[in-house]
Amino acid sequence: MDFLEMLSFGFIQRALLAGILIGLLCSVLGVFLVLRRFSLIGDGLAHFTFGSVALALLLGVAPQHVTLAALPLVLLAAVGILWLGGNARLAGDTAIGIVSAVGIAGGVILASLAGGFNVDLLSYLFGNILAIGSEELLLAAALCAVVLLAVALCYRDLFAVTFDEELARTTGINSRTVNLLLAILAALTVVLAMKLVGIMLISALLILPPAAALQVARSFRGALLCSAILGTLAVAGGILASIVLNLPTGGTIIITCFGVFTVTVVLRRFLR
Amino acid sequence: MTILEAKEIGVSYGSTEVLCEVSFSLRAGDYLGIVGPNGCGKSTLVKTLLGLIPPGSGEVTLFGAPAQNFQEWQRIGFLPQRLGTLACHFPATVEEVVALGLLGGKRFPKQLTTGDRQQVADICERMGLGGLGRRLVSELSGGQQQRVLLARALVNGPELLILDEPTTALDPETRESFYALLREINLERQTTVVMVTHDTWNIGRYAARLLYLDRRVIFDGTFAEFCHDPDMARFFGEHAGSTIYHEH
Repeated sequence: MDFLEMLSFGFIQRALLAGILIGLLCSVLGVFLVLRRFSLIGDGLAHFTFGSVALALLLGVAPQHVTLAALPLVLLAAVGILWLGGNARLAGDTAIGIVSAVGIAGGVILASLAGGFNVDLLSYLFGNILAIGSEELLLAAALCAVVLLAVALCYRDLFAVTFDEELARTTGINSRTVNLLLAILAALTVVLAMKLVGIMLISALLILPPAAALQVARSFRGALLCSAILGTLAVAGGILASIVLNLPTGGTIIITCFGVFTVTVVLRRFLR
Repeated sequence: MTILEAKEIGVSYGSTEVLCEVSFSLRAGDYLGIVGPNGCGKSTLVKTLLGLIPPGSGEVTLFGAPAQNFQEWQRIGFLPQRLGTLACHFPATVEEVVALGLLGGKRFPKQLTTGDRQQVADICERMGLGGLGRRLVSELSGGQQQRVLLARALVNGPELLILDEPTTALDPETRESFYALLREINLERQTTVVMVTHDTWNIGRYAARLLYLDRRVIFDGTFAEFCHDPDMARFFGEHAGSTIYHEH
């Protein structure tokens, strides 16, 4: 089977399209999260997603609806992280650690109640983008549009709070609302990315493309654009490489992202 | 016209009282220097004036409105101490940072117009940052970074400018030109200036009024009155001179 013939398959086309959309989303949102030193929220929410997926599966939700079913709980977890950080005198990383641990522990208990880990649950842990259906692709496209539109409309406020929260407040920006928006967008992104690279690797997709872009970017807008381009290229390249080389897709995508990051680090040294 | 009024402000962190019954007011065109030793509550006072910290007691009004509900942020420019983000390679250009100062007067979705971009270019030129608009702020010198933050604070043409220890990281020459620039802004535009600093000598030369803070207001008057006030001499004891001029 040659490369072009491979691209004619519907499941590969769906996987590439979904991968590019989700990669774009993670790369753009990741810039704000990384610069705010909030990047591990992806990890915490991903672990909480594990518990949410386990609950959805235990309740008998059909596999094609699990992403949507997990969403409300993950959104609540995002709000919970902010609430803990603001009201329980905890640093952000501690709040993330608590939510993360509760998600994993809940997931393990629920999986046990369901009679042990099954194939469905494992596919969410490590991702299975090649199995994405048309319905899930539509959901990914819709959520991607919502998140990118929100980022575009609130760009100035997001930039101001990312630059300095206190300074932003002295221009009348409600930093609590912006933080809530960022957490909600992160929750939407994490739930979508679970299908692409799996719960275990979501945070890498939120961190590596922005980290690569920050090596070479010459402006904030440039960092967003560069991260979006590098992220989508790395995800598309990773998916194709995984098919050609018969490797796990999630892991291959992340290794490709790491390769891109390494190139930009080297490039930065030469550009100086 | 009263620009800012602090009425018996009290602020505590837990059981530690940081500010106690601090009162003063400012009229248009005033230039107030707030000085005091480390930990005397200067930065807390600035944050309280800006509504970033709610006072435990008392009230702050900005342009006649309570600070907590203040909405007209385009009338205020704030210059903080050096920002940590600038030290860690934040990827923002001079133009992008200066334009942040325009957001106070913007409504959702806060788009910048051609006029806004011209305003940014003009203030950059005025601050001696012409030609640096596309440069990353994190790659500039400490003095240039401070001028970028001052340009951000001034781009909206504020009526009140609040500065929190803005000269700490500057060399003596840059510090002098910074003070001269502020005096020019104060005199030319009648911008009310509040500057918190350790630099008692320099602020005494430039500010029309000095407020010495040590959790409460110890002194409020001119620099000349401050230097010759017998109460202040008693307060500082036999080392009054070196305390007042400790930076020189």
